[in-house]
Parts: sequence; structure tokens; C-alpha cells
Amino acid sequence: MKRKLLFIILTVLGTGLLILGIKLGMLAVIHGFASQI
Amino acid sequence: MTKRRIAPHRIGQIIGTVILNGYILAYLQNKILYSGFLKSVPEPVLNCYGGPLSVFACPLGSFQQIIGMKGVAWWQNVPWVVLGVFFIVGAFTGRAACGWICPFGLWQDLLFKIKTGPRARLKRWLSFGIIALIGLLAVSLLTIFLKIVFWKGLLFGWVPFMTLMIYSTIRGKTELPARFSIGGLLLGLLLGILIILKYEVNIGIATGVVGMTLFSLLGAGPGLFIAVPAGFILSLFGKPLALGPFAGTEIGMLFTLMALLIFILLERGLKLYLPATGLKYAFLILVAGITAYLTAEPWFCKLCPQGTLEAGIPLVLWDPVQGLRALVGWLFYLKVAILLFVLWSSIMVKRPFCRTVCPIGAVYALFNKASLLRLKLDSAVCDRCGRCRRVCPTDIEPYNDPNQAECIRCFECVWHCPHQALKITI
Repeated sequence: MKRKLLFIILTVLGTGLLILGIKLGMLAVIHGFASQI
Repeated sequence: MTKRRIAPHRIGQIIGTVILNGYILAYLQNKILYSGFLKSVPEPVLNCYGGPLSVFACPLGSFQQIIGMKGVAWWQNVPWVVLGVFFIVGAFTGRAACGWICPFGLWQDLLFKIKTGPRARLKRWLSFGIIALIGLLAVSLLTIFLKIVFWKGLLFGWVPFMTLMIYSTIRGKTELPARFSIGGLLLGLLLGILIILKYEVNIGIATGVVGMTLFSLLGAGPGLFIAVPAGFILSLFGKPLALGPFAGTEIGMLFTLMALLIFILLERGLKLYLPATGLKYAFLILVAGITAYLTAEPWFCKLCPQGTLEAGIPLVLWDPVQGLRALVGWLFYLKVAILLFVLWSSIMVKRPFCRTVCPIGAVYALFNKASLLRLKLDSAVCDRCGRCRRVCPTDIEPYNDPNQAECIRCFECVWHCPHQALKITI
């Protein structure tokens, strides 16, 4: 039961972070290929 | 003889690798890489976004880019979406993404299939011969494309790699070192800091990361034999520090003293060791976290063997804009050396990179205990025969704890258990 509750909390938290990130326009940022050469 | 079949997670890995690296238009249109909308969507696994075929963004690269941005509001330094992906994927599946999607996991699994050691006999020498030929081909390609003198490629690339291969061919497969030394880790960091102070930040960071990995796994004792002479000699040259005319000697003596103190206090006195699988948390915090934040550069990416394999080498060989090869410097050669070492160690040990280095694996490992998807062990029918450990890609013992941090949820143990003692559950 405790584990299920933890799972729900983590999922809600993750969804919140995801939605907030999208609302803030903070999707992934990439640096291209510069670090690879 | 048992009937061979393709493991279900292997099919997932192949599909994952193709989808994450499916931008074949790069070659058709001669573009360096895809930079459309999907590149702002983080994938759940380690897959370099600098690769010409890469479709999505590597969450770790993006994480470092965002936390390292300077002159922005605090909330712009928070990788919201990347963290959201980690939380959701981790909460639902734990480390399943490592077992079912990650391309670098696939490469390591396949490399471990190469036969080595006394039991392989003809096959081991056959595979050894094939690898020797591939190595020669690689050196020839480097000679043609990078204008490296052939003997340099042989001396610094092929000969060390082949020496390791001969060693592993005779020695056979081995297991991951059980623990890592915190003293060794600090010794590597100390060497890195010394080089930052006396020479240059980038070389210092690279040395620190490589040193911390090697010395922590070797132990601070063997590390002293490499780090102390190297540190002392290096401290004699480079930038003079504000310590008078003998600054080099003083710094060298200070370095030696600190290295010995680390060895005596941490390694011999307190005996500070952690399981080798804990090293990836040091990479997450020290390299992908603190170093990326302080230097505003994604230092894990700069040394990442996955990036070298799927982005660095293909881009340099292909060189779509006719100029990338001119940018090749010492960092590229270091990256190739790291990649070769990881490839070789993947032949010897099951998934060494995932278990000791990968920061994404470290993040998902934290969720393994709480994730929805999990394994259940029926202790009443399990006779601890060890079959599950033999087929496990991360070499764990599911009968001790089926949901431990290193389980990548590939479920090979479930399919292979002769007593059906392990079940997939939610």
C-alpha cells in the first residue's frame, strides 16, 4: 500500500514537472554536436 | 539442446535503437543533424543528440545544458521536462528503459556475447582475429580521414587495445570489482584540481574524471603509484602559483602529502568503500551536476562513449560540412580511448558502463523500489539454482532481492527460471 502511494506521488510529481516545463516553454535544450569532436 | 530464441527485450532494444536513431534524411540531405521539434523532446535513455541520425534529445545532455546556463532566471536553470520524464518513466517502470530501449545497453549486451577465456577455444581466437582486423581497418580509416600517421594509430590505438584483447582472450570473462574506493576517487579529483591550477581547466577536468574512475576502481593504493609521480612532475611545470620561486616543488610536495593522507586516512584508516555500482551516483553528482553547473559545459557529454560512438566518430568520418575533421583535437582522441576501453570492458564484464558510470541508470535505480512494474519472487519454489544470475545482463541475484537498484527489468530471469519462481507484477 505504501509503495502504491509512493508510486502515485511520484507520478503526480512527474506529471506536474512535465506540464510546468511545457507551460514555461522549457523543453529539452541541446548543444548540437560541439561536445562530440 | 535448448532452442535458441531472441529475447523479447532484445527486440525492444533493436526497435528503440532504430526509432531513436532513425533520421536517415541526414545522409540523404547531407545535413549534420536533425534540429526540428522532436529534438526538444527528451527521450528516456542515453542516446546522443549530436548524432547525425538522432531524432530526440538525450535527457542527460539536456539536463547539463539547462543547469549550466548563465545569466538566466533561477527557474530557467531547472530542467523541468527532463525531470518530469525521469519521474514518470521511473515511477512506472523503474529501470526498464535501460533494459528495453537503451541503444548503449544493446551494444554492451552484444559485446558480452563475444567468447573469451579457456572455454571458448576456437571461437575465442576467431572472434579475436575478427576484432584485430576491425581494429586494423579502424586505424586505416583514421589514417585516411584524419590524416593520422599510420604508426601513431597503431601505437596508441591498436596495440593497447589488442594487448587488452589478448589479455581478455586468455583470462576470460570476469566480474565487476565489488567495491570502489572513496580515497581513489578523491585522489583522481586531486590530480584534476592540480592540473586545473597549474595548466588548463579542460585538461584538468578530463584528467579528474578519468582519474577518479580509474583510481576509485583500482583503489587509492595502486592509484598512488600513478598519481603521485605524475602529480609531482606536473606540478614542476605549468603556470606559476603565488607561492614563491619553488612553487612547483611546494605544490608537488603538498600534492604528495595530501595523496598519502587520503590513502592512510580513507583507505587504510576508515576503510571507506562503497559498492562499485555506487560510482554512477558520483558521476551524476560530480560530473553531470556540479561540473556542468560550474563550467556551463556538458562535461559528461564531452567524455561520453555513447556520444563518441554515435556522434563523434560518424561525424568526423562523414564530415558533411567539410570542416569537422579540422576541429579534432586532444579531447577527441581521449574520447576514442575511453570508448575503446568501455567496449573492451563490455566484452569482459556484463554492462560495465550501465552499472558503474551511467547517470541516467543512477536516476532510474532510485525508482526501482517504488516502481509500478516489478518482479515478485515466490521463495517457496525458488531453489536458488543461479540460472537467473547467469542470464541477467547486470549480473544480479534476483533471489536475494528481485527489485534491487541494478535490475533493468529485462525479465530474462523470468523467462529462464526453471521453476517459474519469478513473476512480473504491478
